[in-house]
Amino acid sequence: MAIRLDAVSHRYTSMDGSFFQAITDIHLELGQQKEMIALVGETGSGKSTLVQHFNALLTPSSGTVEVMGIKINQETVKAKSFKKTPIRQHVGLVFQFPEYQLFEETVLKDVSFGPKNLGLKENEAILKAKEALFQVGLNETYFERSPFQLSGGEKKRVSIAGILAMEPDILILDEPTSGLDPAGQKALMDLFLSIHQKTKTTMVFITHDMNVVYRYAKRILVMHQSKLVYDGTPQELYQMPELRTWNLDLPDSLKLQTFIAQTLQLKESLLESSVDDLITLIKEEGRL
Amino acid sequence: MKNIVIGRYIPGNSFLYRLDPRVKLIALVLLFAATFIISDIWVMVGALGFVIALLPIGKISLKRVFQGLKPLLFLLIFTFVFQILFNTQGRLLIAIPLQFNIVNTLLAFALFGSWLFLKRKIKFTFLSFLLVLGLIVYGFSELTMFVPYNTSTLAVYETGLTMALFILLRLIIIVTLSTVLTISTKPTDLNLGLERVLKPLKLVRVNTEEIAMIIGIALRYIPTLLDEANKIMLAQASRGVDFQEGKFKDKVVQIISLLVPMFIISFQRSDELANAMEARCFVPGKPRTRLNQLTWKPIDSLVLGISIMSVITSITLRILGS
Repeated sequence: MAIRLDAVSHRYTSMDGSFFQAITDIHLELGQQKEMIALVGETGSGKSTLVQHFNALLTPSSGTVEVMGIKINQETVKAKSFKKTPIRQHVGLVFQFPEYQLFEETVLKDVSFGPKNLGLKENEAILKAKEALFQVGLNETYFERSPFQLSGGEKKRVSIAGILAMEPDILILDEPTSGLDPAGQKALMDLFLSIHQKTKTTMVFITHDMNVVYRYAKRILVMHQSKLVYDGTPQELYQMPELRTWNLDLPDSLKLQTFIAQTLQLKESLLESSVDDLITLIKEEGRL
Repeated sequence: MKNIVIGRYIPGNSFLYRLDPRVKLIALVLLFAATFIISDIWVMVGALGFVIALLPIGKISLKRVFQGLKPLLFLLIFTFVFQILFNTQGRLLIAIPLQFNIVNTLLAFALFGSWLFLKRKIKFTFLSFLLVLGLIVYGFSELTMFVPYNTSTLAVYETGLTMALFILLRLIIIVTLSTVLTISTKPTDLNLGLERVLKPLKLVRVNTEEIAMIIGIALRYIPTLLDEANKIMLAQASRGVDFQEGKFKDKVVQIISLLVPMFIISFQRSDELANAMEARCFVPGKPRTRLNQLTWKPIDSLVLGISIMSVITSITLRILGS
């Protein structure tokens, strides 16, 4: 059991006292399978609110979040003995914009900030920081540089290293590839995949890019109008008729396949067929 | 953040909302002046009645204005008590002997201790605590079997009382009027009004338009920056920062971890804003047109007239009174 959400709802209260229901009655379990999970949904569907419950940044308005056996709900957070720091060590959340967290003079110092907050000694924290920086592909030449003089992609890697250095069991990434060029996006996602394979951490990433989902995720969660409407494999999702109503798109490769199927007036689904099969099919028909 | 009433605009619709911001600003200054000119306590009470009568007419909830007064409650009571205790002019009204003996001193200390302990559990304001303290000192000072080691008299003089009431009423009027202004005027309108009212300063080479621009941008960015601060706090909390706890040394690092990104983001924002303004051909110092033009309506003249009248009345009353 890693994270379990039981009937979790959250609503924000605005200045004039009105409410905004951000997420409604969510039941979810994740973290047992050590998988790569994609979280998709249109803007304002409650994705960010949902992930902020995973590491106790938000307390549910109703329902209970359970992280590594620690129950988080309106009652438990009031107890004096309730500490949020251990939860944040278990579940690392990387925010979309690295600017919100970089503040130290050097990259190394910045990355060691997290471990130091967990109570590690200076030299231990530095050691963890170096490890994390190597993991995200930044070598010694970066250690003493100012984080503010790095490129967007490098900043992003530093901010990810800042969370990785805390050695979380579950890593949550809020739109990790936003603002990067296609090559940078692919490099970063490949990096996550390799970290995932090496360290066996569960990863949840928010994305809008269906190609990324199709390539990297084994499981996909779909948020729509504050509700969790789908929890399963991407392959099954792509065959669901509701796809349109949730404002989701097919990945490019599947779009091509459906196009081919339509032009060739094929009856059977091409979804499971490999690229080679497709090529032979096109060659046989010779109509494209 | 939710309780700040001073300086906050609350949407509504009444003649106060439709009033020209220039008139509102000038009327505010005139009415302030009038409250300082008034020298008779009954006129002051009348002025307060006038101001309070303004609220239902202007459809502004009394509760909101009271919330605005709340943070000043301590100041109000403090000045009131201070005036009463230390102004010794005029006729002596009340004299209460106060004797500090061993019983009430000990009780006072015990009460103070229990207040410190209890204030975490029950909501108990410092003011009500002081009231109870005073009553205990007074109540036990009659016990003559204990030898008092200090005897003093609580004396209230007539001038002291009137002066205290005076200051109290004046402060209430000023705060209420300012709250009414900010509740009923959008910051942007207020800013525009300020720009127009200060326009004569242009003669002495003060660039009022730019000052108004700076104020306007600052006001506009307060909610944005609050939002950014919240995001930074969340990001740092994810890195194990506990903003509620920690020793002093940790606190310093925590605040730095909040302030540095805040600074950097603010600079980025202002850079972007400058670019956006330039892209819209903004040239500093050049005359500009406005989307919303201020129009002078009959009600504006009426309000201005009433304000001038109240200043004249207060001057006349003062001359007649002396």
